[in-house]
Amino acid sequence: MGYKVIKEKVLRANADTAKLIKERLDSAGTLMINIISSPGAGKTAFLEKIGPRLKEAGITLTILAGDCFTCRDAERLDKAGLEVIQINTGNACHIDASLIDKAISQVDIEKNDLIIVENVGNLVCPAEFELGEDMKIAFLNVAEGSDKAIKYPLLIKESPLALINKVDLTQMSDFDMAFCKECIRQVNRNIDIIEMSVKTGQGLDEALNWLVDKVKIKKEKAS
Amino acid sequence: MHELKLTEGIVAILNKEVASPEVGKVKNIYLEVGKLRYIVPDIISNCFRHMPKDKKLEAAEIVIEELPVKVKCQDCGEVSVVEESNYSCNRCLSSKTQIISGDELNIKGIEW
Repeated sequence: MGYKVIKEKVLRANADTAKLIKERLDSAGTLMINIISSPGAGKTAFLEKIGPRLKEAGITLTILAGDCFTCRDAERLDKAGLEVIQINTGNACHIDASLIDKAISQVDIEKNDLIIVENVGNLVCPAEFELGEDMKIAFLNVAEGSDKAIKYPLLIKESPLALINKVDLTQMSDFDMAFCKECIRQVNRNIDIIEMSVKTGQGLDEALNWLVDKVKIKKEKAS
Repeated sequence: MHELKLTEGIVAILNKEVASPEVGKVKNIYLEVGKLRYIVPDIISNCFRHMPKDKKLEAAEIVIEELPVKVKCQDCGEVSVVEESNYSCNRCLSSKTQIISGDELNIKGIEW
């Protein structure tokens, strides 16, 4: 009879790969953001709008677009004039660090200020897998209801920013913005929250400024 | 779906650990899983049962210790255990709390 103490993270292999990715990005001063949402929240539409504006602000970016099947998101982003690499996860419901590692081997990291991972539409699993990102963004939306922050607290806990998209639909639904924000702050007191509508343009300036600021901070840290 | 990936991770780590000669036929594998993790213990046990693994692991059972979600109050400093989805401070009832634990996903140890 015997007992051996192990004290090992189950996701150690993924964490090790993520750490190496982060080190490469850190030495290049490149910011990586992991956007996580439920399916249909508007991530691709957001990137279609914000991507060109980031470029206008002088930021060189590449988007890693994750989906189980099809290249539909990558095609849309490509049409918007953005650099994009499609990651197909097949039956996997999330992107893991090994897929990011493969994808960024196709990217000239030194030339990029910002890499955005558009994760698979899923509020559960993507929050569990580190990718080497500097930060996650919780991308919520009005159509999914007001209580998602307390139903999926891990994502909220891990994110410095919550974007609440589709606010143009608020009048047509039972969505309660005050309750939604209360739920978010219950889980993460220090998170920034931006109310947004990609369709009408509300909140996009604020989101753009937030991202530009974070890119600037990362660059300053590296120099 | 991710229970399968997690179980692969568990087996990969344990295949190396049981290579030590002092480790016998493993009876129990102890995991610590924070309540914020969306893990279903029965699914992990099932995945583990069917996954190819070292002979020493074939009869092992997975034992999961669920760790609570804890918050620290930014008003009074109290650390509270979260019940249901109430993240308020137990002492002063402030909602100004920050989650400090509950996302653990570790292999604690093995018993043979």
